[in-house]
Amino acid sequence: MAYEGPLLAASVVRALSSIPGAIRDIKALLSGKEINGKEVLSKMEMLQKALVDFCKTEAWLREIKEIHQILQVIDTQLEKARAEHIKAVSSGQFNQQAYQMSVIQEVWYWAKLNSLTKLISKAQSIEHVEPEPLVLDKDGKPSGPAWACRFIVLGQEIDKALDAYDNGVSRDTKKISETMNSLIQHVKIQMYLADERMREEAEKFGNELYKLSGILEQI
Amino acid sequence: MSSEFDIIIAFHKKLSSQCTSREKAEANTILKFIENTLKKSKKVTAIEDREELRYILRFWGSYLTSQGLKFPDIDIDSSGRKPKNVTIRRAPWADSPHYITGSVHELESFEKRLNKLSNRDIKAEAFTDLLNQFNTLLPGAINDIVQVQRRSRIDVLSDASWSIRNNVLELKELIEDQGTASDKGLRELWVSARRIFDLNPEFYTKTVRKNLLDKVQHCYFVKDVSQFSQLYHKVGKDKKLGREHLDYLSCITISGDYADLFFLFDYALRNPSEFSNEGKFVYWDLNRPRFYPFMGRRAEIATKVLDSIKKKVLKYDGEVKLENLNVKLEERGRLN
Repeated sequence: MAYEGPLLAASVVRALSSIPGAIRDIKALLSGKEINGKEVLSKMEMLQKALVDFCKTEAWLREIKEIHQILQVIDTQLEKARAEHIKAVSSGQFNQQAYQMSVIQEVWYWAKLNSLTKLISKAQSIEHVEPEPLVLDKDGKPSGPAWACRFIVLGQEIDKALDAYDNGVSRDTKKISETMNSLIQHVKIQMYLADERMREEAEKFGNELYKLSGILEQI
Repeated sequence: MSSEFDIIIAFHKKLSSQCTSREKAEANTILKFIENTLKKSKKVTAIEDREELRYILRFWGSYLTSQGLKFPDIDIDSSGRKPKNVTIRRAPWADSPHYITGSVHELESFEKRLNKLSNRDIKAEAFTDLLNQFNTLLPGAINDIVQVQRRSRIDVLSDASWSIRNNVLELKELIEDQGTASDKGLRELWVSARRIFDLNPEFYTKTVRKNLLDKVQHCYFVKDVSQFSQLYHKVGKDKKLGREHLDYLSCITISGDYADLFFLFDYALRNPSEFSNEGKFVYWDLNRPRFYPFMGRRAEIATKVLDSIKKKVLKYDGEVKLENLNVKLEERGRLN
């Protein structure tokens, strides 16, 4: 359920590798006896395109950082729910009375309103990190990145469990706590994976730039 | 029988110990462990256990990434890995056969009855009856807890003793209660105790020495001979007593698997040989606010047990093996 989009998109790698060639060509054209303006312009446009593509790396990093940021906020918001679970199991056995539903309801209300909605909306407009964005059909059924679909499903499960509690259908707080724990686990894993992706991307990006600088010096 | 969760935890601990001992845990072994855990996760239904599994899997997931490997699938909450209903972890004794829970529950109801009675003046016979019941229930319950919680007997006993309201008897009360030959007609005293009190200087001066001067026979049933040995040497060096007084001291050590249970409570028997005629009393544990006269079956049983132990060790040349107990009459020559 990790991020499935490619690390450092192929277009960026291609762009990086075409920059030295373009510079070399322009240099040769400009140092010739007869300067063909059209040809130079076309090479300059190629270089421009390569640089534009290269700048997409920044967009990729910005996107994953944004997702990571939202996940971090959700994680902090759910911390209180985690504390409730820890309090309830402090005697070694889950104590339903110690699990305060008023705290859980408040935590969930804010987490959903402020951050989960934001995350889902971000996943719907995703461009770089995933091959395709999250899509919700008219019944609210999700498709697209597995991790984003999972957030929708878990959110629906929590809503359902809390509704049942509020309407007096089920007072089973352990089920609510279990669903909340699943969501917390999912947030923590995705946050970790986003972090790892950023680290890997930065590493790969650094390597490419290092190679490029070596070539540019020799031109 | 170990549950799926216990097996997972045991394997996790084994793998973790490999990491801490600078011996790298094999990636393949970890991946297999994760795979097995995911397979078994459906059978782990207790909410507390499932949360622990999540922590463990997260730990191993990040461990693998730190080794340059891909973060594995660790989701125990996806369909097919989730139990139909989550449960609450059961109390340690809840999975045990009925008779085990029985004794613990009986003990709890006994405690309630005792608490109700504690504020009222009750007759000695009624109290003795209650203590008889307690005496029957407690060893069973302690044994059950030992087995189910996999703890040492002494550890459970220590917890139990701390949970009992503690009102230690004052030394003066103890001296007054044990009494001496002159004021209470004492001729023979049997003491069964984990730690004998007779070494206390004040108790020794006001009770033990007086009793020895009055030729009271002392027999100590103890776990370890060292304390008796100290007492023996103390008497030997006592200028107010002669060497002949050492003949009034004897000691029987009781060790072996069940010795801790044997010494669950400290008590003394006054004139035990006359028990059946006179119905003498036994004094209770030092934790009690005062000594309750101990009549009827409880004292009779204690007398019979100690009497049979004593007779057997004398008959079989000072050392016998009883059921789970090694019993030995300590020879004086050895103590000298």
